[in-house]
Amino acid sequence: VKISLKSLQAKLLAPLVAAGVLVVVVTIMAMVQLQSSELVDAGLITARAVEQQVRSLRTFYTREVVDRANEMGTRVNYDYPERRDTLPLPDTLVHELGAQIGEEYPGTLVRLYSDHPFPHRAANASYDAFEKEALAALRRDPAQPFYRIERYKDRHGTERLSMRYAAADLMRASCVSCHNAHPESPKTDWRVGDLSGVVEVVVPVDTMAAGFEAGTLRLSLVIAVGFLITVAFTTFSGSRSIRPIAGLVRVFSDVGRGNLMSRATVTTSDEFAVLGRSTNEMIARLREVVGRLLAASTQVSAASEQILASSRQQEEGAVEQTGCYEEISGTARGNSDAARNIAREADALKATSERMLEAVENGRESLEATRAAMRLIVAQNEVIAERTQRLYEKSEAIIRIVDIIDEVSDRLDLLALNAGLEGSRVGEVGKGFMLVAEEMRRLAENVSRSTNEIKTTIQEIHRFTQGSISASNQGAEATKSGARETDKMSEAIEAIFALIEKSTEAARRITVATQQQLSSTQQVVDALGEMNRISNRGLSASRQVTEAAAELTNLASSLNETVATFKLAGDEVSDGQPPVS
Amino acid sequence: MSREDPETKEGATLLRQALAEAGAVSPSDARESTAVRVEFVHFTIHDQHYALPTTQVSAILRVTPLTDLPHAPPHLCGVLSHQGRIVAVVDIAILDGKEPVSGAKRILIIDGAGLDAGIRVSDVIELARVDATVVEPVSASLSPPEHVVGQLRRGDVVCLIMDAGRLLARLRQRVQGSASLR
Repeated sequence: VKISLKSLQAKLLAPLVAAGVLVVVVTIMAMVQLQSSELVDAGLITARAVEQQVRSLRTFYTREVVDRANEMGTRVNYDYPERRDTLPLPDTLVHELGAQIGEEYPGTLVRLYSDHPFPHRAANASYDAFEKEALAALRRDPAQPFYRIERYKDRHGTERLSMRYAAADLMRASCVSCHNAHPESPKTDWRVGDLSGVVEVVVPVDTMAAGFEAGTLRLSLVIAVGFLITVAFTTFSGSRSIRPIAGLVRVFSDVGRGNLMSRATVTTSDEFAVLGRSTNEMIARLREVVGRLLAASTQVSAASEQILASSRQQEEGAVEQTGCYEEISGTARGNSDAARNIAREADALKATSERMLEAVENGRESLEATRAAMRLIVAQNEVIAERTQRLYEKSEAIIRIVDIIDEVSDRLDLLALNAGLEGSRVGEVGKGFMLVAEEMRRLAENVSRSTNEIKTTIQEIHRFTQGSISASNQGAEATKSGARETDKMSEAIEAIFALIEKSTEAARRITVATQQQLSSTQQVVDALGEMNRISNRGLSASRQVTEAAAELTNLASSLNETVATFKLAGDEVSDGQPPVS
Repeated sequence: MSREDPETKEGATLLRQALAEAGAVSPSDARESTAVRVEFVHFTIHDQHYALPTTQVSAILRVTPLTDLPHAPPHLCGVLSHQGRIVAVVDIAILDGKEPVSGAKRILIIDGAGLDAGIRVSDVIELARVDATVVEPVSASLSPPEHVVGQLRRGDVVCLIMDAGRLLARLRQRVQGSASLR
């Protein structure tokens, strides 16, 4: 197996190279920074020097030439080129000098400008962007000069990189009187210290910049070369020091492919030797572990297949159980329906028996009324019998009396007859007596007839009362037996009443019991539903178990396959690399 | 009112004599006119109406308990005490060979020819005063017993007229006969 170490070397070298590049870049950037600040400083020094020289010259000219010319009566004005007796004004001198310098040093410029220029200058005065900014800045702070480096086009049209420098020109004591007195002065109330104008100096810095750039380039070249040399050296020594890794890499590669019979050759005594020995130990340990793993995975495979089989059986069992629960649940529901029917029937029975109870109650009341009536009849019957008996007795008494009357009338009759007989014996004398006796007899016969009628009547009454007595006796007997019958009937009705009450109570109990049964059955149905749900959960759990077992089997077989890729037997092979020194 | 046949005339005469003998009519009445008033006791034995002249009836009694006579003939019902005398009571119906008088109400004490006796009768109807002319002889076709001497009409009924003397004589014969028979 060919092993390339370039990547490792690259990894080792990359930080080094990056650090080197960073150093070079930073150095160059620092140099550029330094260069530009140096450029500004150098330009500033030059410009300030020119400015101070021009000022010194103006001061000198004002003090030494203009004052003396004024004393001597020589005219001093800006229009000196046109008149031979006139000297230039100090500022005019500065203008002219600037123009002269510009001629002699191309790219260099010295000029004055003001917020209040003299009319002859104001006519052709124009300010670029820098000049406007400089005026504004100096008006704010006259002590701080305004400057920057920019590309500047001079009057010949040559554009160069230049330092533009502007400093405030303050009104001096020697100038105030003159400026206030000058007839063309645009401002006549000047005081010492007022900002009269700006002195601008433009100095070209392009040559200086070019010099700086050349220096920077040279320095960069030197750094780069040094860096390259460093890299080369590092690469060389690095490749030398990591060479023993190649053997180890090959060994690890073998192990990675599953060859656990590979081993590292250890020839040195440095850290790599330690690494090699450790690697060999590790491979040996790994071999042992993989061997055990192989055995374990075979066992796991077998076990997981058993689990799979048993969990499938359990699943089938759970399915059957669910079916059973459904069946039982159906039965219980049917039972519940039946119980509901029974409850309905029992309710109906209860209602019927309650109605019956009511009816029997009514019957009982009627019977009670009948019994009372019977008792009344018996009592009345007794009264009637007693009265009839008394009537009978009375009529017998009447008969006795009538018998007496009869007897009396019979005697009367007899008496009358005998009297008549006596009368007839007496003859004519007894005739009246006979008539009386006859009349008496007739009376007695009337009485006898009457008594006979009375007797007949009384005997009829007797007959009737006897019939009445026997009838009333029979009636009493009948009513008594009727009362006995009604008593029996009452007892029977009481018994029926008790029975119906019992039956009502029984129906009530049946209703309660069936209600309880109903609720119990409902509980059974609920419980069965719950059991079914649990069983379903069990089923899904056992399905999950089955799936897990199947997965486990798959895992075990793939584990087996994986473990089988390891080579655990055969001759040990060395990595075949030259010993690492 | 009177029928002028010889039999009737004969009967009337006979009856008048008999009545006179019995003292029922005064002899003057019996002689002078036929319009003589006669008094009878009108009574019944069973359904048969009889009449006895009041002169032959001494008293009418209620039926009272009788004292039995041992070994007496059937028509002799017993004896009773009447006004201090012992009187035998007979049943004429038995004597005439008929059923005994049941439910007899009265006992008539009769006397004739110095004898007296009591006869049981069903009832005494009245004491009748009749014209002697209404008394008739008993028609022979009826073959009346020997103590019946005539008949008379009371309204619709026919009363057989008894003679106490003949009845008592007959009783006496019967008693003697029965005694001689014994």
